[in-house]
Amino acid sequence: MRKGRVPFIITFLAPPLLLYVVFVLSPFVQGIQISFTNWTGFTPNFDYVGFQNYTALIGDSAWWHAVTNNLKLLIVIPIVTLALALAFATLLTRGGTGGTQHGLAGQRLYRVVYFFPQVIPVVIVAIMFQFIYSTQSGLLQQTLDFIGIDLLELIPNGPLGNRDFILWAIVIAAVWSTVGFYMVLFIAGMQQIPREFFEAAAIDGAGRVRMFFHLTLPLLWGHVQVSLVHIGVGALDMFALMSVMARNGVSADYGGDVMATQLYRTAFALNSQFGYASAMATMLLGFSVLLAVLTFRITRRERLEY
Amino acid sequence: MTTLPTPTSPAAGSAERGHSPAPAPPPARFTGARILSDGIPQVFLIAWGLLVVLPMLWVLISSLKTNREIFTSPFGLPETWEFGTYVDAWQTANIGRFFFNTVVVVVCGVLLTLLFSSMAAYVLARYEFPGNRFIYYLFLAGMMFPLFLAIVPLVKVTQNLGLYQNLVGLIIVYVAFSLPFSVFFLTAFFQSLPKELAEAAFIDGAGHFRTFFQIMLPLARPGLISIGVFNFLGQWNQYMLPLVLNTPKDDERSNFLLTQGLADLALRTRYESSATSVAEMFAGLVIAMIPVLAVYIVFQRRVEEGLTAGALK
Repeated sequence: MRKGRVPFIITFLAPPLLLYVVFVLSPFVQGIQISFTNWTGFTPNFDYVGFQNYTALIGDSAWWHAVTNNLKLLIVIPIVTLALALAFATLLTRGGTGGTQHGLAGQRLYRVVYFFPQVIPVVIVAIMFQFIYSTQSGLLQQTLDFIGIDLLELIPNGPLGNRDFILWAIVIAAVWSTVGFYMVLFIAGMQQIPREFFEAAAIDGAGRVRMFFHLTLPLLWGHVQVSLVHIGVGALDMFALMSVMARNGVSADYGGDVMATQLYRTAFALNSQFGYASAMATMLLGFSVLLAVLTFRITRRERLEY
Repeated sequence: MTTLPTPTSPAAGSAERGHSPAPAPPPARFTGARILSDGIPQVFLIAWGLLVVLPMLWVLISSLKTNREIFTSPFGLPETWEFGTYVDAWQTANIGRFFFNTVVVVVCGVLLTLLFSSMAAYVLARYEFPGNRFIYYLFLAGMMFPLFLAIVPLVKVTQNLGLYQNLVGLIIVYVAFSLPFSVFFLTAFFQSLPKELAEAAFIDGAGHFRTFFQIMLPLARPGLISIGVFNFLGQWNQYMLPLVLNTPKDDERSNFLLTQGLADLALRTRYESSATSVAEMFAGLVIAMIPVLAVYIVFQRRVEEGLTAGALK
């Protein structure tokens, strides 16, 4: 175009590109490289050990315990979150009588309030729930006391101290903090569906429930798919919640340990093993990619144009 | 964005999304059947609303009680409103320092993210040169990988560059990790702006730099606000990066950010440990929540747009 074009392109592109390559791309590549070494992170020298970290990982029962926990989260969190978010979104857009015209009264207020937890830092959510679940006069205990139930009798050692309950106690916090977000996402999607479809369905005598399963859900499928991947990747991470509520995974006899917390402990706690931790990170990456591919494979159906 | 309760044609509906205030809902007719069929869903909606609001309210009210009161009258209002707790939290628990650090990091982080991502996005959107597409996809690749894969090597990278354990380092790392999505979002935005304006500026003798800063950036304002709010929330809420890269420099943890500082306090706090420690903790939570809730309420539409665009990328 005009003169000075090349210097301009270079000046504008070089700084962001440099930052990105040094701090984002190079660590990703190095991560895979480090996973083939026995580096501790403290010493300057290390040896390449081939797939030794990976074979060790495959035989590591603590790792598989963490993987199992992630898989449990991967099944439960998306189902609960999606069910609640879809239900709320439907009620707020088309929940009113007749099912086509309007949402329920107060929908604007609901929408703002439901979204609150999404903007609060996840760590703050975690701390808050830690206090809610506390066995030393936490909100849950006090509420149960009020109606005459003893929390410690119901759940020995409390929700975050009990090996069988800790994971589910944390699931509640995870769902609490994201439902509003997916609800807003689905509302945006639902508003793109032409209103005539619902009118036609209403004339044909479809009720609210049928309209949801035969009209809204199929037309919203793209949004649901994307949300599944997102929630799934979130369920593979969970670091912020677990780090606080399960004390980096060690609480309740490792009942809430997940891949992310184990990776963190391996790399940064007592005996630092960068090589081993990087192998975990690479496996975690593999899981994430696999999850995204699987989700799109399993949930694939024809794109509906409207 | 607001939900539209009244009928609109599909075309108007999509045009209105996010651009106009919702029309008033239709007048309600409370017939018996209506009360029943709206009433049952309302019960569920109210229940979830309470589940969201009550814990937050509990934190707020508890922050104004003494430690003893938090035990003895969990549901009541404080006997005396202990605003002094906030002063203690701010000063003795060092939360003021954490807050200040966070503001510095996030403000610098967001501004630099906006500057760098708009520069890259503008060039990628408007200039054709060999490698353009390659660089664009290179940036996009960064959106696919979880932060975890990078975290271990990142410690070494920052240590080697003298960016470990300090706020400047955090700012730079935040900006770098915010670039992929921001570049992606803003490239699409710059592509959607009319080409004629830049052409006209060139004809008037403006150079590439002047055209960018005086013509294109002001035009891109809506996109910049969306991506700015998106990054503000993302960076304010960041926990993993400061936890690993910004380890304590001294006993007062004077280099900590809010999220890591509060998590650190929470992991050490016991209910009995000191006269006001739990109340201080609650005050800290309130202090950390206020800025993001304020931004959300002010920029509600932009926040929802920015975050949902982030999910649908």
